[in-house]
Amino acid sequence: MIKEHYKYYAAKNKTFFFFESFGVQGRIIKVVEIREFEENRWNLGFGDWNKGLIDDKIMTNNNDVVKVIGTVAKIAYDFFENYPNATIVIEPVDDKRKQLYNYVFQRHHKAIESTFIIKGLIGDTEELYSVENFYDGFEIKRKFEL
Amino acid sequence: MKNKSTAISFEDVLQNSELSHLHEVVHFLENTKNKPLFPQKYETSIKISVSKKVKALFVEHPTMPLKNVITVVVNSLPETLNADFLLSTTAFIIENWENLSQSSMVSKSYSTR
Repeated sequence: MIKEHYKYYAAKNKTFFFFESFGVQGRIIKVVEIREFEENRWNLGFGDWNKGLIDDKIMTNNNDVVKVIGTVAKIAYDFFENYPNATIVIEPVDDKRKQLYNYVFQRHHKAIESTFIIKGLIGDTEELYSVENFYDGFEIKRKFEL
Repeated sequence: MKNKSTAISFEDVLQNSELSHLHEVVHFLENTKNKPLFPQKYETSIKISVSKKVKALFVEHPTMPLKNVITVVVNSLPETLNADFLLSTTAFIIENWENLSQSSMVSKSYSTR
């Protein structure tokens, strides 16, 4: 299902991850943190690591966005293996990322919806994801097909 | 789920000399795991969640004393929040509750005219 992704590294509790992105700007370390902010509700944060500083606003332009997003998706799958009842909330930090994430969900919602329930967030209201709408954020929760 | 984990553990990274260039990242993540790496995102999620809780409380208990509202909502927050964020969240709860109370009073006064 996920065609392209980087090899990634995970903390024991599977809530901290990182991987190396290789592209036109060289090697860039990407960090993913999935942190619980309410029972069974987890926030996904994602950014670049550079000598002890984390930056989630930088646009790296390493020409590997598909592979990077594929790796984050792979990490999310891995997280759900360990926290099956969790809901992951994704809140983009700026308009560029909001556009990117909306594009990713528009493009891949069918594949994602085969395993997950997607909700779209507009302000503090939420609805079942609709490809027609543009969202401020997203929630994903595993479907229970077991 | 079709995608089984292919992750390499932090322990394996630290034991592998070929991955020594990544040891610094592992140490950094291990040392900072108690505070959010992405505080802005994390705090935004908490504020949205708080706003929903305050609305739900107001619908169910519109006359609840403000002190109790703060207690209920603050008690539901994660343990590890810092003092500044707790203070700003408390102010946010008060502001939300007062806005809801005011708009409810305005709509009541219109309906009794």
